[in-house]
Amino acid sequence: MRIGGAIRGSGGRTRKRMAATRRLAKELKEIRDGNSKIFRNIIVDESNILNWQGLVVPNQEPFNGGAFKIEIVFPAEYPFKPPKITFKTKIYHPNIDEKGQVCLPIISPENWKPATKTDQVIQALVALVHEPEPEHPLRGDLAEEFTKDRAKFNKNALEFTRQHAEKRPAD
Amino acid sequence: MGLYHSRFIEALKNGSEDEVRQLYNNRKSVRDRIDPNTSLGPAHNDNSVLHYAALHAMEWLYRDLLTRGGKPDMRNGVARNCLHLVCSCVESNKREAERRARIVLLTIHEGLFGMDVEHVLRERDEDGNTALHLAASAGLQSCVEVLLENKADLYVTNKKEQTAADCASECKRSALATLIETRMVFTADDDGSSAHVVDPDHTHLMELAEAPSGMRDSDLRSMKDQLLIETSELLGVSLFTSEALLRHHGWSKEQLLEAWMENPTEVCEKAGVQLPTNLGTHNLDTPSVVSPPRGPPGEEVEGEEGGERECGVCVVTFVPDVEVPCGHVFCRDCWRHYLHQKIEAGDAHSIVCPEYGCFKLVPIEVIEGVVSRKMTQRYLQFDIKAFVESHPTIRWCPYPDCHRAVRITTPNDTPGDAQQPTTVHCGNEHYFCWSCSGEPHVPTSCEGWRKWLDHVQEMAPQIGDRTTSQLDDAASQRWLATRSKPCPKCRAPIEKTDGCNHMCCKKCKHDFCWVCLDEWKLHNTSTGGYFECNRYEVRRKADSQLVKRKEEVMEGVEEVEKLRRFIHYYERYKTHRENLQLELPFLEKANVKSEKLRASVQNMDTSRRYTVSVDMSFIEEAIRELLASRRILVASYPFGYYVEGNRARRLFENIQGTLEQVTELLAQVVARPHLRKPRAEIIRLTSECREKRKWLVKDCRDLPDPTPPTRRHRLPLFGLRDYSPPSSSSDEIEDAFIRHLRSFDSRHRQQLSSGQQQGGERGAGQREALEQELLQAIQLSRQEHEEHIKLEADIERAKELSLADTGNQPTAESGLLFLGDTTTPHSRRMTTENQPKWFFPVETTTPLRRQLPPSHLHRLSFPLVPSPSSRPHPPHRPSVDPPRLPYLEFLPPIPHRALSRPSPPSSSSPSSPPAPPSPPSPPLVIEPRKGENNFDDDTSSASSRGWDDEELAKALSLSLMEATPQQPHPSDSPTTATEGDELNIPPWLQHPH
Repeated sequence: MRIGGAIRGSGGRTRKRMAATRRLAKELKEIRDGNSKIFRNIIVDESNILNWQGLVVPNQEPFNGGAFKIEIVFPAEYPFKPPKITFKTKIYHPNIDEKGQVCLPIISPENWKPATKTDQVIQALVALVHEPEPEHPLRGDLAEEFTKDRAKFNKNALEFTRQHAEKRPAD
Repeated sequence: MGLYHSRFIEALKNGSEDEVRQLYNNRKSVRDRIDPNTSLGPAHNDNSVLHYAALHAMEWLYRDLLTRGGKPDMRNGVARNCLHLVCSCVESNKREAERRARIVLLTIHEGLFGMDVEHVLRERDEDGNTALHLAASAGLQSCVEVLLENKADLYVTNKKEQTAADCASECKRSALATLIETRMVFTADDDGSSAHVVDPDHTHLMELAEAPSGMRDSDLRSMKDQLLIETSELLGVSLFTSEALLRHHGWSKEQLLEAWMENPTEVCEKAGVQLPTNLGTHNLDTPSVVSPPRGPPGEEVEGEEGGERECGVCVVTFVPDVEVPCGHVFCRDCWRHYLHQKIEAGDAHSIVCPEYGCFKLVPIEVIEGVVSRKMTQRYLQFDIKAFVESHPTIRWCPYPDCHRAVRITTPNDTPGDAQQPTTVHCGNEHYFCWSCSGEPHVPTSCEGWRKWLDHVQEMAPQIGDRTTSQLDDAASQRWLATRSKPCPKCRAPIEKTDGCNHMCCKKCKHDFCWVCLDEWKLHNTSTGGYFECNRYEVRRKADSQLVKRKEEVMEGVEEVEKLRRFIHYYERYKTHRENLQLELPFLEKANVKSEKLRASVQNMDTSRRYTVSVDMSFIEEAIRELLASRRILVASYPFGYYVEGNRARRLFENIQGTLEQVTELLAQVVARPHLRKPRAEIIRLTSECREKRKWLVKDCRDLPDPTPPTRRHRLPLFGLRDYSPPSSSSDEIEDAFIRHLRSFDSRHRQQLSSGQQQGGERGAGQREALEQELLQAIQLSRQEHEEHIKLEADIERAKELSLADTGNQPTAESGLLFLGDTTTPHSRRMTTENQPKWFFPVETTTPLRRQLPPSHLHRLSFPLVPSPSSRPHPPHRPSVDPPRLPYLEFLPPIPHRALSRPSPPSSSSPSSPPAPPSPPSPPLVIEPRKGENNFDDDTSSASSRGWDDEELAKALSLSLMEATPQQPHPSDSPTTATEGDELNIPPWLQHPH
């Protein structure tokens, strides 16, 4: 192993904050540049880049009838600590509870990797929305329904989405 | 003339030797008038001239008086004889001390010529002091030596419960105290007992002590290293890889090998390491840095010129200088930050690459190269910590600041087996329960112990005791109970802070559901179940358990009777705990004492056999045993508290009582400033205590755990042929206990026969223990039957009594009481509470022989040996004191034990009518025995006749007197019944001479 070598920038707390801001700015730019259809309308307060809001637009049954507002809150220690995601729109989903909390393993403190990009987090989130995991439910009743009677679950989810979800963007 | 006499007496009283000498030598009248033995009256405290001569050490006068018929054993007003007086001078120079020693010698050899010197030496004054006590207090070493030479009794205590050694140390004469103590411990005057000093048997017994299994940090490290080296050699992988693999397989080489044989690639994958590409030729010394860090596939590479890259974490560009096996690169600052964070979180086990989706472990070399030395140190600490915590058979000592770990050696004591409490020792004098890491609580189960501590906590306001530490314990237990749930597999308390209900124990990796604590498998669709724990039915089940628990608590608070019962157990529990605390310091002092005694022994007369260096470990052993037994006794009270069934409880309490008794005896000998018994005796007591302790532990283990009543079906079954349930009221637990008792009987008989082959002291010791157990058994079966006896039988006996014993009617009061009962048969059951005591009076003048016919003994299941020659029994034996048997002397009949340990309120008997004169012997039914020497149903009927302990003891000893020594044939014993009054005592009950 080689030890030594040039490292740019000098240490300190401000550097960490700087790191978070710099990285989030880069990530935000990449996501916006990516023009994803599934995660869009990202609103970030310029004074506080640690707080994002966006719209998840699923493209699979039964949630493809609407869109879901989410909030992503990054801690100051980001990227060494994981962000938190909450659904601001109600959703009929076994892994998302009534308060909008999600049980997403890749952003749990034990599993968090500093190199994980927000884009990858969003992808994991959308994958979870598309493919519920009834093995790790936050809402057991929905998990049971999902497992036992998929048709009924889909019907309920469709109906629920129609009632509560945001309007899907036109394009 | 009278004047001279008065002057003489006055001078004598004041100790003016010259004047005394002058008067005595010059005045014949004075000489003639003196009678050495006459008391000079109350003014002189009833001292005689001889007494004064002894007191003031006037050797010439004393000698002269002795020749004139002086009796040194005469006592003065405070019951002191001349030996007392000569030893009781406080201030003395060396010459005077020697003169006093000469006087003592003179007294013994001349004054007491032809008398029982030892008896005189044992005589005690008003305060209970012997001459030895006084000499020790006065620091008259030469006197002490003379007294000891002449077999003065070292073990006598005065009214303050002090031995001579205590008296010496009280007066700050520590050298003398040590001398006396040495002589007490190493009795040299008896060839027989001194043989014990080198008795290999006892040494062997000592070695049986449980070896401490504590492990230091260095032990753990070397253990880990060795395991790693072995595995890496075995599999041909690097140390780093083998560590990861082992960790993933619970540090079990066997498990790892098994998995490795099936699919090494998958094993490596799961463990987060790369499969070495060149298996077999791998160099063990290099870490598995297999590929250069450059250009890993899929890695975004920017600014390739000059080797500069962008850090995937902080997005700055840098020149990579930290390499990991997986090839991912990050800047050094991010590495440092990341590793610091992981190490501080105590995550030493699983620091994986920070790259998304990469689960390769970061090698220790990288960590050492990046973080500070202090952090590395911490990492290594955490590494060992994680090693211990993930190792199934190693646990940390839970004592604060004790950095030792304990490895459990018993193979079946897996961490999952939380039901079987095991006390372990970290080697730092910390004892704890392996299963729950709490205070040691064998024989009570972990659950029972928690329940007990909870209970103590609940009761605290009522018993007004909040200070003791176990209440704190209880508080923390309760905190855990309310805030956390134990992992269903390893019992580690788990607190849920966030996340879903799928829990994975950090320690044992067990997957379970937080709501119902069942395995997660049952909740997972892919394994056939589904999540349903928030459904009402399940919740209700869980809730009802909570409610039940609350109700239990309420009951305990409300019922006064329960409170009283609790206090009974609690106080004894507390007393033992306190004793334990008081006795703990003795362990520290043991080494000092050993050294002191060793030096003292070597200074002793070299003509004795203690020239070789003597093993002093017995002192520490004895104290360790005492502490171990104390710990057991502490926890035995919660156990007793939860034992179900009256009979089972009483049986348990008898076993407990036996241990308690021996423990107290041991405590009286060793938990003192000075040891009080000869070495052989201490060793014997120690091994006896150990035996009883193990007996108790084993028994409680075999007993179904009383705390969860649902586990009753798990009863131990012993070989049992002729057993039928004694009565409808007994439950399974009690039966099991009885059965167990029987197995003791046979077990001990085997022990005995082997002991007899070896012969000698050991056999006698075992015999004593056995006899004691048998006494217990007799008593137990009797107590049991007292409860189940029918009223009719009592009436019948009462009739016989009144018919046969017209001369000796019971007192009117008790008679009325009894007659009143007869008019309403079946109205009352005979119990210990209401059984009239006069029925079988304790004191009797009739020959014992008639009262307790041998058939009783027979029916009390002793294996009887048929007599080859029938000896007629004398019709009337004079009532004699039975010979003092060791077991009677040493271990008095069970329940009225020396240690004040009143029986629990439930079985305490109210005061009974006074004992009237003796009734005739009750009618006897002799039935042929069948089968084994077990406790038959009718066993208890025999014993039920209300023999008192003393009677039984007497009867036993009396019969022992008659016994003729013969070789035992236990196999053919039971079938040939003895007849009538003839009785032969099995050799193992014979008097041990």
